[in-house]
Amino acid sequence: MDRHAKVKKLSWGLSILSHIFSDLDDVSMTDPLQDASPSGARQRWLAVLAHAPRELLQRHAAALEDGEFSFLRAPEVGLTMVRARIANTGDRFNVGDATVTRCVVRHRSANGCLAAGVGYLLGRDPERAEWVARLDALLQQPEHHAQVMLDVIGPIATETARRRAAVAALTASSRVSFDTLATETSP
Amino acid sequence: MSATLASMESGFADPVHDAQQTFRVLLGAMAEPGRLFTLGPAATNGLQPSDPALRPPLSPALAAALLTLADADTPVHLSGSLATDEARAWLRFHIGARDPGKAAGLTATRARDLDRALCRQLDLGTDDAPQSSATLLLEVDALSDAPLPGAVALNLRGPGIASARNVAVAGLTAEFWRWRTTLQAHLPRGIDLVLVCDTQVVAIPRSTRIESES
Repeated sequence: MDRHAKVKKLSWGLSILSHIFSDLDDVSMTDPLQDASPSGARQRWLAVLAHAPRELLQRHAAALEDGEFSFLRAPEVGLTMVRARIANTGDRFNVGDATVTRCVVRHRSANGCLAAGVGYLLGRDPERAEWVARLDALLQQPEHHAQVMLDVIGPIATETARRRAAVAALTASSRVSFDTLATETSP
Repeated sequence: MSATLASMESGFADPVHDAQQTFRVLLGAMAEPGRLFTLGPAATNGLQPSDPALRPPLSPALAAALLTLADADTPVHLSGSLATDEARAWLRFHIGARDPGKAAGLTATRARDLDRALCRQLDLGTDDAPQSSATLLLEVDALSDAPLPGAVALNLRGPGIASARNVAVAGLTAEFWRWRTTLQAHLPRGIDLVLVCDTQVVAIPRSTRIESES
């Protein structure tokens, strides 16, 4: 209980960070949307889950059967060094430490098939990392894949895109363009 | 990658507390050489899941000791029949430890795979830095504080033992114990032995003298 209170207190500070870094990784990562391989598909749904708002994840993950899952690595919070390059050029430098929560669960389907789901998230939220891992495991089970894609990933992706568009629109409303006159070079 | 992760064997059920409990037992074993310690069910429950396919590729006490003592900065060398890809992947996943492929500060093997070549590779440390020496984790066939048929009975003396202590170890050759006895002259150089069998642990640190064996 104590630990939870601590987690809550810190989370607002980190949500600011996570906004900064969600923009960062959009720029620096190769676009998984262009990648048609199976690992590209997994990257895509893990990206959707990692950026999913807490309440949406909770709504979808709370309905999952507990008995089918077991921890391979219980949720744990650690630090990771975030490195970046200014404007994507030059040498990498250390931006700073970011807290990361990770979790690995194993899912056993009705026919005995095993799948391991992985959840890595920015910030400290053991529950959220577990939900992501559970959904990732289900997405790797052929009999659940289509259903979860339709019920969970689709709506979350739409909702995340809507929120991002709203923030982008809000930012764009205060945008100032500085026009400079270019000296004409004549032929 | 997910194919191997899905079949990855379990580790500690509660990594922090299980490792603390195991560490306490190993500490006790080192402080009282030759005394038989047993790892409690709390520490080893996670290492003995009901599904045999998910059991770690190492025996409970050995698995617990490695998960407790090693980490990403502590190379662990698995030798002989312990050195499987499965076991390496398991260590890599749970604690991030790598196998350098040769005898390291922490070397683990089964008693029947132990040979002279491996013993020769073990670092005894130096007189200036005896702490740089190797710790050898040995999975033996049986451990007992009472005489065992077919086992070598050791009579131990030294720090941590009031007068003398007897322990029976099955699976290690008389030649190995002779080699261990010759190391006594090199103190503070030497190797620390941790013998494990199922969930039992006996430590024989370098400071312990083996007075007689039979």
